[in-house]
This record gives sequence, structure tokens and C-alpha cells, in this order.
Amino acid sequence: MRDYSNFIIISIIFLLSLFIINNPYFIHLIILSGIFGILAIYWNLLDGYLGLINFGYAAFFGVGAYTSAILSMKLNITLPLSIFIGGILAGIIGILVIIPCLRMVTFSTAIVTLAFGEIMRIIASSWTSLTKGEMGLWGIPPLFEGANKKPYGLVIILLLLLGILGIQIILKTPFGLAIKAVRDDEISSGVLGIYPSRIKIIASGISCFMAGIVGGFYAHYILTITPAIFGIAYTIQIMAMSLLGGKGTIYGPLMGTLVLIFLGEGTRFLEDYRTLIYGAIIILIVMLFPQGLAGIYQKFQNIFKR
Amino acid sequence: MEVFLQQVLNGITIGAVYSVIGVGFTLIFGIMRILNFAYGEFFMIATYIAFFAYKDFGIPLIFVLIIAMILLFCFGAITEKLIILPIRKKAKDWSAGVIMATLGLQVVLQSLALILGGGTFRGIASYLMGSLMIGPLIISYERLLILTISIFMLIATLLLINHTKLGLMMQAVAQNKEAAIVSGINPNKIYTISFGLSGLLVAVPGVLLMPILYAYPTVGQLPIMKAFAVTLLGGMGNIEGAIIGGFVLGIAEIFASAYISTLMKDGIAFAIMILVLIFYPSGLGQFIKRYKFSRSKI
Amino acid sequence: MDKLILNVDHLTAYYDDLIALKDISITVKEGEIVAVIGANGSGKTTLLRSIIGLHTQKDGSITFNNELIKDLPSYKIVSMGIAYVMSEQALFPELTVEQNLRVGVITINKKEEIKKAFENVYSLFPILYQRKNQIAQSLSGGEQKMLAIAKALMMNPSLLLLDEPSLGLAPVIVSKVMEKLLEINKEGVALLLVDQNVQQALRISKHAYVLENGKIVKHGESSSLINDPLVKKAYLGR
Ligand SMILES: Nc1ncnc2c1ncn2[C@@H]1O[C@H](COP(=O)(O)OP(=O)(O)O)[C@@H](O)[C@H]1O
Ligand SMILES: [Mg+2]
Repeated sequence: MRDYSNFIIISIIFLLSLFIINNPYFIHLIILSGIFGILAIYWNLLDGYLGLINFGYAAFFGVGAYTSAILSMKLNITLPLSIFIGGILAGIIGILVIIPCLRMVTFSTAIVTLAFGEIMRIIASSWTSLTKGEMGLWGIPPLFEGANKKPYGLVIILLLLLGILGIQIILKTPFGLAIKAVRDDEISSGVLGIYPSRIKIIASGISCFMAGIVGGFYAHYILTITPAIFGIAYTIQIMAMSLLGGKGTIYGPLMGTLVLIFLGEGTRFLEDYRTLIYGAIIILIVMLFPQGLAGIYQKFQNIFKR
Repeated sequence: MEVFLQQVLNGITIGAVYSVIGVGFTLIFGIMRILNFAYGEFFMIATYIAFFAYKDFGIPLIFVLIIAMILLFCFGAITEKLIILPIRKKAKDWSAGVIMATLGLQVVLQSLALILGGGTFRGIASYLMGSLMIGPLIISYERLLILTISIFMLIATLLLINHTKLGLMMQAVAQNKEAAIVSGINPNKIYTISFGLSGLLVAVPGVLLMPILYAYPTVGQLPIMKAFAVTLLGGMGNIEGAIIGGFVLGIAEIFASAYISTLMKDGIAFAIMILVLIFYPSGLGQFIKRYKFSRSKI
Repeated sequence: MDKLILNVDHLTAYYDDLIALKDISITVKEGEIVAVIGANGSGKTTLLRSIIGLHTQKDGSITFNNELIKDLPSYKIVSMGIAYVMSEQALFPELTVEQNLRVGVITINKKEEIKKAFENVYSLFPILYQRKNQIAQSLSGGEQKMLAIAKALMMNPSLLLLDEPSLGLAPVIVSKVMEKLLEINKEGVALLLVDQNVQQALRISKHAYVLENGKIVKHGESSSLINDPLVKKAYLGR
């Protein structure tokens, strides 16, 4: 039960604030936190737990967003179903991208995933008959009618909580133990009868599926999307959140997301500098606190224990 | 036939540029096992230097080139000292950390350029008029200059690595760091210089392509993608491989846009890259007998 | 010829929490051959790496010619006249024999000195001269070992640290290497040699130390240690 105390606290805080506060702007921030929280947590599933760098992560978010938007606009597929299809497609592509990477070292994986994101962006901006090119898609059907944002908030918070619970449970199953074994020692995990490549493929599928689902949700919440959604800027944002929080932890990336979204919004006058700040945060964290906020928190705990 | 030869010539010119870009990028990997994701932004900085020095200050092109090379050398060296070195000192396995930090540097430099210079394209129409006819073939003086200087840079790099004391030290550090240290070499110095050289190399196309790739905050995206492709084609860290890879890519792109479609040009680059990786996982460079830097898996 | 050149005093070395060397004191005099013998994992490599500065987690004092070298970076220590031959991977595999040797004199600028170093090394190891344009990794195990020693000699050191020069070599080759070491020593180079091949190490050295689990359990004249019942039992299998 103690393992889940964090989870319960977070659930209560999120849900309570959603019910108590009526300010639409605040609710918007909560929704963004939910979206990026899931992305940061599931990006970290690959980087933090498996040492798999995915620099094209935003592209899977984009695949989910574009797929669901196009399906619902052109083929009139009902909403939650189109989002789900987008997620599945993102998951499948995620697996296809990771397979050639399995034989490569970190560096090549980084290049291939980055190039993949770039290719997706090029496709989205040049396949105009389907995507309207650089203009982007607009007039995407909303997930909920009406001006009230709370239903969106509720859905994404539940998705976030489900996502967290999912990872916590996954990490306790034999599959999760295998993930840890692969992280700790790829070579001898092979001896134990664990196939590192199988683990990586499944984990990539899960991680990209989640990115696709969140992308679909995003499309039907924001209602306009452009090819920029595939670009490196979003991946950078997700990475900054994840690394700031602390790689290899569950709640670290969520904390990093909350800090950057609420602090970022509190400093709106810095709008032009946002990307600059995200970039600088990544550099500084890597240089000074490779373990992120979670690591700092751990240090404090150790001091008090003594 | 003439069209074909003309296209080969165009491909070689572009290929030479890609080779220089690729060599600068792969050099660092060969020596330090590091990828510099801010490499495209080194190029971007060179384009700005070129524009301001050439257009606003009216400095002759050759001096612009030298100034840009010197400044980018310093910028590369400072990047290594200020960002890479602390990460290398802190962690034993620094590959992922360095990749992320340089990716962070990429967006920092891009947004700095945007904040300082705005989103305008800064470029010039041309710095050299006229063209040369060789029989049925035609090449503009500008392209001829680009081709000549690029090839000069490639030869100079090979000479530096193979026939100078610094080159020997670079090879030594790359192949066996500890053995190099106990031979009296300070590897940190070599790393800093290598990063500087990488900046120096990418400054060359940054300046010479002025009429084609204008100074713009995200102009670095294109060259870094080419650098990726060339590096993977040639085998990571393989200088000669990168030179071959650059020409292969340049010629393939020209033919792709001539016979398939201009839009697919960049797609073709990646298609070739992926095909080569499937059939020759360590790149075209594996046909080279001796690696200057250590052999590595891709 | 009694001048102390290397003085390792109360050296303790760590790998984070693990103590690899405990309070070790060793001296080497000018032109002398000293051996450190010990089983696998006893700390021999750590000792040499601590002296040459590649291993930095350490306490105590290390002086060379009365200068404190303990906290200097390796590449500086090397230029003071200590050379180190690693037990494996001591070479630059893709460089030719000659280039490997050239790296050995990379810190020397005088053409004369470089020429002399080459002449000296090639006369000591004629086989390397025959193979000078061959790539290091294409040499046989024995030749690679010779090249590693030759590369270290290029720096004209007054002290040579050798980590298991007999490792992985056939017995005939081991004897050859040992003869070369004796020849080198005759030129006035002091040797500090660590080895599991106790018999050979004790045969060529004057003094020896016995290392066990990071501690020195015995030291003395090699000729007396070779007859020591404990050493005989533990290391010579007799
Ligand atoms: N890089 C390392 N990290 C942690 N422990 C090490 C490392 N290298 C050696 N050790 C430990 O230090 C001790 C001494 O090792 P070493 O000096 O290599 O012994 P030897 O050369 O006599 O075989 C051993 O217990 C070994 O496990
Ligand atoms: Mg050893």
C-alpha cells in the first residue's frame, strides 16, 4: 500500500483542484500538465528505464494527432475510436522504427529517431491533399461540445493516473523486472533468458502508443494542428520535463512537467525565451544534476535521515 | 550523355560540400565518441558571420572565409571546454548526457539567433558571376570555387590527420586513450582542438553557400541532416568513409531530383542511408582497410 | 648506484568503497629491478596505475626523484621519466609499428633525440625494424609485447613500470622477453615489474614484494624469497 501513497496523493490533488477551481485558464494548464505529464513519463520509460533515446518522440504524438483528426474529418469515424486507432498506429510505427535501431549503439539510435521525426514532418507538410500542408488542419471535431473545459480535464487526468498506475504495475510484473534487468546489465540479462530486444520492442510499442493516444486527445482539444507538431521543439520540451524531474523515476517527470508548465506560464513575459530556457535547462541538468529534481529530493532525504 | 555528365558534375560539387560537412561531424565521433547535435547551429553561426562580414562590412570573400573558420574554431573549442568537458568529468558513461546537452545547445543557439536577429532571411544573390564552359559542360564560377575549396579542405584534413604530429596524437587518443595518456598526450587538449576543427570545417560551407542557404535561425537543420546521412553512410567516425559517403549522397540526390522528383530529394537521401545500413551495417567505410580512428559498431 | 628514485609511502588505493591497496610502501633504487608478485586480483595493476597517475582514488605519498608526483596528471608524470607498459591493450591497434613508436616520442622535439631513440629501439628489437610498416594489431602476441616495451623505451625513461609482461605468451617467448628486459636494465633503466609468473619475476629481479589482497605480506631479496617456504607453496606450487 505504501507504494501507492504517492499515487493516491497525486490523484486527490489533481481531481480536487479540477473540481474546486473554475478558472478556465487554470484548467487549461492542468490539461497541458496531463498531456505533457504522460509524454514525459512515457518518454522516460524508454530513456530512463531502458537507455533507449527517442529523439523523434514528438513525431508519434503527431502521428496520433494527425491520424485521429484525419479519420474523424474525412471518414467520419467516431471520436474515441479514431483516437484509439491513432494510438495503435503510433505504437506500430514505434515498433517499426525501433527494430533497425536494436543493432545500433545509442548514437545511431539518436540519429535514426531524429531523422524519422524529420521525415514525418516533411511528409506532413508536403502531402497537401491529405494534411493541407504547412497550413495545417483546422476545424477538427472537438471531443466535447460546449465551452466547459472540465470534461477534457477529467479525461486527461484519468488518462494520466491510468498511465502512472500502468507503469507502476508494469514495473512489478515479470516484464518490469526484465526491463530493470536489461537496464542494469544488458549482456547478462540475456543469459537469464530475457531477450533485451524483445523487451525494448514491447516497451517502445507501449511508449509510442501512449504518445499517439495523447496526440489524438490533443488534436481534439486544441482543434488545429500543423506539421510543427512533429518537430524537435516538442521533443525538446518533453525531454526537458523528463530530465528536470529525474530520469528513471515515475514521479520525477511528472514533477518536472508541473514545474515547467506552471513556472513557464507564471513567466509568460518570457514567451520568446521559452525554447531557450528549455534548452538551457537540459544543458544545466545534464551538467550539474544528472538525477534531476528526484535526485535533489533524495539528497535532502538522506541529510535528514542522518 | 551530356545531360548525364552535367548531372554527375553537379552531383560532385554538392557531394564535395556534403563530404566537408560530414567529415567535420564524424571527426568528433571518431576521436571522442560524441555526437554534436548543435553542429547544424555551428553552420548557422557561420552563415551569419558570412552575411555580416561580407554584406555589411564589405570584407573580401577569402578573408570572410578565414575569419569564419577562426571564429568557428574558437566557438567549437569553447563549447567543448564549457559544456562537454564538465559532463565527461562527471559521468562515466557520458554518451547520452552529451547527446542531450548538445541537443539543448541546438535549441538555445536557434532561439538566441531568433531573439537577436529575428526571423528574416539574410543572404546575397551571388558573390561571383559568370560560368566556365568545358566542352558541353557548364559550371558557374561560384560552384567551381565551392568545389575547389571543398576539395582543398578535404585534402588538408587528410594530410593533417595522416602526416602531422597533431594528427598522430588525434589518432592515438582515438584508438587507445590510456595508452595515449601514458605516452605524454593530454587528451583533453586533443578533444578541444578536435571540436574546434569540426567547427572550422563546417564554417567553410557555411560561408561559401551564402547565395544558396541564407542566414536564418533554423538554417542548420539541413546541413545536420546531411551530416547524419553522410556519417551513417560512411561508418561512424570514419573520415574516408564520410568523404565517399558525401559524394555518393550528392550524386544520388542530383539524379533523384532529375529523374524522380525534386520533392523526394531529401527522402532519397534517407532511403539510401537506410538501405546501406541494412546491407552494410557499418557503412561504406568498411571497404576501407585501415581505420584512422577506432573501429566501432554503428 | 644506490640513489632512491621511486618512493611509494603508505599508499592506500580505493575503487569507491572497495579498498584495493592497504598502506603499501615500496622503493626502487636507480638501475634496479624490483618485482611485485601476487595472485590475480591482489592489486598489482592498481599499484602501477596509482604510480603512473591513471588511478586517482588514493592516499599516501608517491615521490619520483624526490618530487611528489602523487597528484600530477599522468601525461606529466610520464614526461618526468617514468614509462608504463600496460598488460594488455598497450598499443594503438590501427597504427603501424613505426607510428606507434613515434607516439612514444611525441613529447620530444629534438630531431637528434628522436633519431637516437629509434636507433636504440631498433637495435634492441630488430624484428620491429623488419615489421615497421605493418599495422600493430597484425603482429603476433610476442611481437606486440616487444612493441609495447619498445614504445615505452622511446621516451628514454629512467624507470619502466611493467604490468605482467609474460601474460598470454608462450613460455619460450616469455624467456625472450625477460632476456630483453635484462638487456634494457643493463643500459641503466630501473624496472618495477609486477607478474603472476613468480619464477621468472624472481629470477630477474633483485628485490621483490609479495602482495596479497592489497597488502604487502613479505619482501626481501628475490634470491631468498625464491626459497621461502611460503612463497614456494603459494606461488611456485612446490
Ligand atoms: N575498475 C575497477 N572497479 C572496481 N574494482 C576494481 C577495478 N579494477 C580492479 N578492481 C578491484 O581491485 C582489486 C585489485 O585489482 P587489480 O589491481 O586489477 O589486481 P591484479 O592486477 O593484481 O590482478 C581487485 O579486487 C579488483 O576486483
Ligand atoms: Mg592486473
